[in-house]
Amino acid sequence: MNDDDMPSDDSELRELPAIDIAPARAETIRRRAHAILRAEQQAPLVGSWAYLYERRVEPALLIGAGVCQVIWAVHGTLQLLMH
Amino acid sequence: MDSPADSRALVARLARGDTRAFDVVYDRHRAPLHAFLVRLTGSASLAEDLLQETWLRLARHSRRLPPETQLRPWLFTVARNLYRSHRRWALLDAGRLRELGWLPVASTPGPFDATVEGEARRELEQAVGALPLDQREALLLCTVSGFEPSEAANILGISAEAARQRLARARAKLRERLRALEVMP
Repeated sequence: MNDDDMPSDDSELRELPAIDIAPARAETIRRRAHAILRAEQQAPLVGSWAYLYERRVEPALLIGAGVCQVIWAVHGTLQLLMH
Repeated sequence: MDSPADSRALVARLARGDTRAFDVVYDRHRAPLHAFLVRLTGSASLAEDLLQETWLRLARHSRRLPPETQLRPWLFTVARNLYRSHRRWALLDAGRLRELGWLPVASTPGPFDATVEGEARRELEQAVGALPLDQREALLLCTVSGFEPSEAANILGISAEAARQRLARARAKLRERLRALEVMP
């Protein structure tokens, strides 16, 4: 689709206004986000280890356990079939 | 709008916990993101809650964002996913309440009733709000929010071709609805 295909509705849609939230609410969100940013900085080691565990160690352990389970099940089935 | 280099610099500053970098992103994208959520959800209060959660997630994830992250699409993706997630739970709750006959009839005015000037704009907002969700989000991202269809496709987690198809369907349905409104007395 190219710009020639665009109906006239599009220009009106593009001109719809951005609607901001009330200034007081905007400030509340800003303050809370700042507090989180600062807290994240104050616990750098814990944060990075948690991330490493969550993204690398735990998935590797789960996949390893799954593979072991499959090998054990296949091995057991073959043993049963052979005897 | 962020250039890739600008976004990369802001991501690096956010990773260092720079609150001024957060303010730059926040002031730049807050209103467009809020407008997207208001039009997507049709509810001012829900849009505010989802907006807050989106910004708090940015703060929480600021240290783990990949350096090449484009902040604007990232924010819209998070906001859109939060709404999808909220909607799944809300539909479950509504289904349960309907079964029990406890679901009240919605009679509160829409978020645009007080803010929108002019009948034509109000009708346009209503016609957009009446689109199916899949089409509404594609239309809002590609027109009001100004994303390219390929960028919108990434936000929606679909192929660029699927995004174009949704957009085409949304435009056709919107035209149809607006024409019907013109015919109505």
